[in-house]
Amino acid sequence: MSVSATVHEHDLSELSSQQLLRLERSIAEQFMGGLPWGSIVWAFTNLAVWLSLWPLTLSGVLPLWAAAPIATLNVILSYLPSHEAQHRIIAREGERLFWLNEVVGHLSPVPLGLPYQAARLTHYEHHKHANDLELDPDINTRADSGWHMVVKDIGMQLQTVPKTNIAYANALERLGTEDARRAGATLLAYALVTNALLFGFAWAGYALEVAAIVWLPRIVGGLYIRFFLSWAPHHPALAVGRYRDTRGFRSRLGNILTMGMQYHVIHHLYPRMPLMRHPAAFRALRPILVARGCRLDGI
Amino acid sequence: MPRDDVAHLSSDGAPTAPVSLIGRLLTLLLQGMPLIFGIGFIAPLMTQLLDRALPGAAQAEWPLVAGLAIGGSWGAVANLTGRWL
Repeated sequence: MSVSATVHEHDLSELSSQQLLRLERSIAEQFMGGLPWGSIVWAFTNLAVWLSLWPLTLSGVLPLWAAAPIATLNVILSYLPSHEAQHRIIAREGERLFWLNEVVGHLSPVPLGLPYQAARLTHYEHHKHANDLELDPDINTRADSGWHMVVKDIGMQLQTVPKTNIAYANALERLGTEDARRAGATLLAYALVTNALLFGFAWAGYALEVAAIVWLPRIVGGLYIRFFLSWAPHHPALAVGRYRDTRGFRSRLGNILTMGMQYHVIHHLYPRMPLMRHPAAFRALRPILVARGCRLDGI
Repeated sequence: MPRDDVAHLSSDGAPTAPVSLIGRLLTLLLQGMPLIFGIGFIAPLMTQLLDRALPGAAQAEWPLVAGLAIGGSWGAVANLTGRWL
């Protein structure tokens, strides 16, 4: 008997909120655990491709017009494996493979230029305070429509210190822990080292090459990530609460090109569930999400 | 006692954490980052673009001067206005 059939057999309206939550958890439990090999292979393959662009582009073997789109794809793909590590999905502290969790967490977002600990701590704040105007570090992606988000985001990125970066720094300062201070210092060091590398390569005669591998891809890829990983799943970002702060949606680009974000509602309910199981978990849990009044736009 | 070790007072007279020399240097560095980025990255980028776009420019000095002028002034304006455009 399928999980979905199990749900349909219940008349959900007769269940109390607690019973519904128990049923939801028992279904979700079936999609938890296991090693997300797909995300691990994804992390290392993506990083290897991006690193290979350096010798290939700097030596002139790969033309800039080919390097730039590949690097942009690498930047776009670099965040989610680290996101799995941020939630300790690969392994928890004290488990045998925790080192692998941390290696993926640190190495995967290198093309994006995002240090792992700062990403992890600010992302936890996002989960804790999703859509809160004051406390959600990702609230700056809130916009009336997709086009509005793109225009607003470009405007923000043209600031010398983008509002999005200030929100992350503020979140770390608000946390005030030793971990948060260290993450803030790493964030600063990352930015300085990245700029120093950029300047060094540029003055050595490789300005166009590093623009194609690092600078432009981070601008374009960053926008893509903020659009599909932040704006789209939280739109309209007006409500807070377990069943209100995230939505399901159907995109014309499909599930792969939106990087699984059509089912992001599942992630906010069960943050330690591996990304690649979200579609199946969503199908199994859908009747409960409907009963809870979740926003499911066309999916 | 070196100045770095002196506790500072805020405008309302309450003591605040002392700011180290490294902290002050970092603040200066970050405040000047748009100008540094203009000279450090935009200038050589413009120079290389001019070298590639205009035949004969590769051997001349002027693309470097033009690159520095564009990168430096763009960075300076960004530093003053807080925006790149």
